[in-house]
Amino acid sequence: MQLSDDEIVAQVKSGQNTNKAFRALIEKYQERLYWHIRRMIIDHDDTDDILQNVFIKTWKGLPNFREDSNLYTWLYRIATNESITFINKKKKENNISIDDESYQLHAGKADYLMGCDEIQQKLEKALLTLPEKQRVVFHMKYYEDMKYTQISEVVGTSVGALKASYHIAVKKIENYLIEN
Amino acid sequence: MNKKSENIEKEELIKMAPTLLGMKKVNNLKAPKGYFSNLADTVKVRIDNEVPNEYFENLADIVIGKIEKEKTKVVSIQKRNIARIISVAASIAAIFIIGFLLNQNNIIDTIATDDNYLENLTNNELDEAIYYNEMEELICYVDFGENFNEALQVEKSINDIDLDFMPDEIDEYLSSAYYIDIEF
Repeated sequence: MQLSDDEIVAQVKSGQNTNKAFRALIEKYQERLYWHIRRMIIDHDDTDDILQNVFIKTWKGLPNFREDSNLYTWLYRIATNESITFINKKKKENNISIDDESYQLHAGKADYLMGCDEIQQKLEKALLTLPEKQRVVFHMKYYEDMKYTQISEVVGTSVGALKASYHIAVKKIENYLIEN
Repeated sequence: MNKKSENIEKEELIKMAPTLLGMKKVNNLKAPKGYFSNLADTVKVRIDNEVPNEYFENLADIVIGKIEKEKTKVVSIQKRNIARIISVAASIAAIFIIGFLLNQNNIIDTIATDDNYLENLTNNELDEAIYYNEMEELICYVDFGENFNEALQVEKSINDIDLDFMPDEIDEYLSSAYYIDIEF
């Protein structure tokens, strides 16, 4: 039987069955977090590194977790921050401006598009033209079907601003698909 | 955001981006086979091998603390040896003094209890004692009688012992119950 978030947090904090509870946390969230990071990072190995770091940070931070937000939201926030930090670091290493789109960064990693139909390939390329934060919002809304309130807790932006950001992203992708 | 406003937004988006929102949502990325079944173990191994938080921030303080502790240990051993030598010397000296002074007490007790003893002294003997005007000498005189000179020599040899290094013991003795202050 899967432990609830409250049970996981309580067990880790109590110091009883800590390892068991933490394993339960990883098994519960690993796939969702993996795909959340992977859609941002594209490369599996980099995603794996980031995801492991996310869980290590979670392990360290969990005893002090204040529970004023959901565990789920907190994990997403760590994963999002880690992903954006990684991308900015990579851009810096490759002499790409942080404000530039990620397309150049992922240009050499187009293998995953092999075997996709043409429209899917266009969509993936269109996504890489979005600024990082806009792409995060788009992924969470479009692929993960998260509510604006949940996304707001993860990225720390108001619901109104998120809604506007998502609409702009949708419009940009639509234009890309039509133009290309 | 309630259901009604969600539907309104969806309709707006479909109008705005019919191509995108008409597409099937497909995940084009693939995770390696068995990746998720091993991830918890991999993370556990990394956590177990992780350098503890703030390890390097505190390392210098820990090392300096240990060095200072070692220094303190060396100093304390030296101090302990000196203290041991002093205490042995003080003990020997204290035994010497206490022995001597207890002997004095016995003499004083003798004086105090045996009134006839002083009464039996001749005038010359008393004069001689007053001439010296020294309590110890009077005691010796009273105690040793005819062997007074011999007693003076013994006392002198005791006085020659350098007891300056332990004035506390002398003070302590003088204020203790063993000491009887006799006024003349």
